[in-house]
Amino acid sequence: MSQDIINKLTVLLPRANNWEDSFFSQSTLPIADDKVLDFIHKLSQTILQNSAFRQYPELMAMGFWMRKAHILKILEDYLDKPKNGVRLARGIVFHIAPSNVDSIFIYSWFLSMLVGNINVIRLSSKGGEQIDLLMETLNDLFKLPEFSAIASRQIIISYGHDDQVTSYLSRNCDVRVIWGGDNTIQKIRQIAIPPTTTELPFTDKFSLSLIDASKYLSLDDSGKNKLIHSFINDAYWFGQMACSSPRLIIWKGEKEKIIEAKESFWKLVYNALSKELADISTADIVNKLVASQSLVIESQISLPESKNNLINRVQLNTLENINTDLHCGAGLFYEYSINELEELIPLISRKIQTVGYFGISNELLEQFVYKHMPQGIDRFVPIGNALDFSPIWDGYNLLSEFTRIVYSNK
Amino acid sequence: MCSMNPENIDNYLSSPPYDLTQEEKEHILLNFLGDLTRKHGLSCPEYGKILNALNKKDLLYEAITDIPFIPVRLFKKYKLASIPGNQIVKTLTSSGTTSQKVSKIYLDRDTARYQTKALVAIMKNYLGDKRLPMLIVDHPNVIKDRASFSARGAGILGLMNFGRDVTYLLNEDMEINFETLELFLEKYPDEPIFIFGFTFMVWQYLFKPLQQKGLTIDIPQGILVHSGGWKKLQDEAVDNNTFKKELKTRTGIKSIHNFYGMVEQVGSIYMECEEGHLHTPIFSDIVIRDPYDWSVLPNGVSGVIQVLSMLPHSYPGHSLLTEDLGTIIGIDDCKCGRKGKYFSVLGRIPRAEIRGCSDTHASEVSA
Repeated sequence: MSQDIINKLTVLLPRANNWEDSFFSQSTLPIADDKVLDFIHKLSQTILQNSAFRQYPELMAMGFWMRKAHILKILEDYLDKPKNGVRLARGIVFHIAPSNVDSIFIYSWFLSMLVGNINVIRLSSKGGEQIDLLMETLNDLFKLPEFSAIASRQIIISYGHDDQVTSYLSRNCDVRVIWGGDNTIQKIRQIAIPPTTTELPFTDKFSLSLIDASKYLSLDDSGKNKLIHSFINDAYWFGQMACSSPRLIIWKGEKEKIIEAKESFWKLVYNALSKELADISTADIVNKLVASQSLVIESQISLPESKNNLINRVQLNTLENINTDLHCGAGLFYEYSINELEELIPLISRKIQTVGYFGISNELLEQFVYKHMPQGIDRFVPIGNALDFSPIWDGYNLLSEFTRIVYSNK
Repeated sequence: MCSMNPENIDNYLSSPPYDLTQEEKEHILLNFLGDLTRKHGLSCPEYGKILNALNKKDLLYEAITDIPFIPVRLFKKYKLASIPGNQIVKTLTSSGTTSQKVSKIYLDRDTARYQTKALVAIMKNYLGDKRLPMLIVDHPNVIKDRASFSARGAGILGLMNFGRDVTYLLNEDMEINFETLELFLEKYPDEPIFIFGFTFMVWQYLFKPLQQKGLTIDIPQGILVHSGGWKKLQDEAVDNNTFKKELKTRTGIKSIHNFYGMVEQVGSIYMECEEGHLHTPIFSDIVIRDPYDWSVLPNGVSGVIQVLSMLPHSYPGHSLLTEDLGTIIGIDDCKCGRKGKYFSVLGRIPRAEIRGCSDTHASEVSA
């Protein structure tokens, strides 16, 4: 690599290391190598036992996800042993992390590490407290001699928008993973990758919650409160700006039931939500006001009065061409009522990612997509699990995408 | 609808701007603002949709705090006008950095006149009835292109009406024209001189060069009026008190008045009095709102500033939520003797961590 490029980037991890060209000529590691399993296990323990992490529920959730038993289960559930051949890591994976606070790229990095790849991660310049804390912890583990083979195969760098650096890293990777908005992805796609390199684009998506009104009303108080708690977690973590954060609530059922269910539901959300939990700034609130009044100007909606600005609701009267760009998160909820699942069809573009459901069986939801074959919807998860990462993301099985199979015929 | 009669409005705009108590003023202003809300609801389709969505179209408003507000940023996103295109006599635009969208404000003949009248009434209260010799802290080209009124140009043009022998203090290279200044001061050695400039321009191009060169000038009879927002000065940790103190040391100007205003509500500005407080005239008012639920906050508590003005008849800008924070200091009892609310502006709403929203840029406050 030319000095020119080296000067443009900062190595965040491993600390004190400079970039060396030999990084790219290392061999990959075996799939689910014991050392890698130990490393992830050790990191999980550190996160769960270190009190500094307690204040970051997202990182705690990540620590749980990294537990050894869970990692082994992921391997068993999502990575089959090929009948005819041998599975190997693809090689060098170049991850371009999203510029917002979303730490989801860490999961895809770890899955790539788990199957033996060499990883280059590009962070946008500002990492934030959570990322800093994680880097600190990773750095301590990377210094241990037993993990040197792993440490030498991971590098986290940061550089400003610079096509020369991106181009260099793109030329040298076997898989390019891009997290970002449509514009970011289009811009990076202008930069060539080798003919044999594959690309995983994770673009901005839009997610919703789907609630059966009668089933909700039939819950007892503790059942209702449990659901409300789950919904608040889905909606308010990451300031409602993660791709999987629900921004639209679909109520299914008879009109009268829906009216009753909505009233009860939002009252309980109001009661359960505190300023601390919602974590919304004045700027967020003004953005929500601009977004909701802009929606009024651009489409047919109504704005029910809100008791406070932790929750702002917008009643849509059609699901066609709903404006998802105006949505700025921070507790803004579009709402719409349906009688039958079929009424969702106009909504389901490729942009629709997660459907968090309550009161509707996932068999029914599976039948729905099987029958109508919509362009979008990447996942159905019970309300409360919207932000859980799964090795199947946006329609890709990441463990498959990060490996290749050497076919061998007997 | 009788309050909307232009004759009524013109008469009211000729009244002394600070003589009514808050109670008396609110009573009158409520009529004007209620009528404006209904009028814009009928004449501006976008605004009508917002009133409908809020379920506030045909309400009677019992207090000025009942008048619905729209965020000032909407003027950057949409063309909001309550008049047909052939009645537009002037279009005002906000200043704004290159990456930002600008507000567009459409004026008809009446609204333009109301703005001038309100401004005259307010300025006279500070400058007296006579036109004063005037210095502008800017260069003459700033108003050359009259077809497109930049906020700076429009502000200068608006205030030029209060001066005579209008003289620009800066040349085109933004340097102080000492020769011109000397001649000007020789001509008017004793009478009051009206000086106008944008806050940042005054600091950057008048104060700083003097400070850097270790020079002082002497205009003790000067009355400086300035506006445009403190954002750039805040970055240099310069607040209003520092500004006044430093400027006085370098220029001898003792009478310095900031004003708070914006392109979306030109005319009914909030001038700083001798006590350092911003005052609401009888043509406009402010309400401080709690971002938590938009409830009205008591005096002394800071919140988001809502501005109400009776002047905008050609566009729905009579009740706006700004992106500024402020506090009401008191009502009817400022030591300067002016009645009504007086307040301070604490600055822009701090930008939260940008979480990926595409439209989080705020507008610049400008005159």
